[in-house]
Amino acid sequence: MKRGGMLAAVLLTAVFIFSAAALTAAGARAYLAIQRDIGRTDALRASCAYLTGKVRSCQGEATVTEDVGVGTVLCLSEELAGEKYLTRIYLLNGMLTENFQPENTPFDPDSGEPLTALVAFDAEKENGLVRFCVTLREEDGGSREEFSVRAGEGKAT
Amino acid sequence: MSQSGRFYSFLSEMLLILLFFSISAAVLLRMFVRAEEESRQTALRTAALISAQSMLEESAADGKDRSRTFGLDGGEYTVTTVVKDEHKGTGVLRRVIVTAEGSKGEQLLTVPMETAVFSEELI
Repeated sequence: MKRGGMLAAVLLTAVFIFSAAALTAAGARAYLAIQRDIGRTDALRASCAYLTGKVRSCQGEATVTEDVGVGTVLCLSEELAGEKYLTRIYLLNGMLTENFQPENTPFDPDSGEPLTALVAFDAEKENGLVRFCVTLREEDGGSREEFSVRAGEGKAT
Repeated sequence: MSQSGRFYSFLSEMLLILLFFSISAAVLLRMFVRAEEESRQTALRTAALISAQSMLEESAADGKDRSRTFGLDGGEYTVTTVVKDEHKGTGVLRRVIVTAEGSKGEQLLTVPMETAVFSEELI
């Protein structure tokens, strides 16, 4: 009887420990999944809102070029106090970067301002639309997202 | 108290703890599942919103109706755009209406997204 009672007590303790561990694991898993979704949503919103806002507010022309050092570069031109300025947006060291400088100054990618972390950034201009393709980091879900924005001259034709 | 009495009191204490723990675990597990589901739904809504915005831009630019289905973490949603051109005096007013529907038929956008573009070039 005493032996049976002892066994039952040990068994119950084991069940309790196992259940507590399983519950903790389930909580951790849920937390990780939620964190991943939040990261994904934030990264996607940040890059999408930033790029859309930039293209929309561009008063000049939006062009897409290729630069030897950084790959695809989105160039937005505007005129301020009689001088032409270029805003260049490109991917540098895993960060979407913005560089703002006068048009006649040589492009220096390292002097740009890092904005948000991405794995890949691509843009192309077609029929008045600028199509973006961004790849999020693995910790943000690692997905590849595509979206389009009408450029300044992208009115209905 | 005798030794066997202590055993039984320990056992009944353990059973009470386990009972309380099981109830708490059931409540917590339900909450975890619901939180995960809510989070997945939010991610789906965000993705649908961005896709809807993108397709709205495309339809506003070329005037074509579109319908595309996207997949995300096992979930699916369909974004549809409808273009209506109205001749107004000097040009054409193009209205684009976008809706996004989940795989169970639920609307992912609180209200349909809409934009209007007026162009004299369309005449």
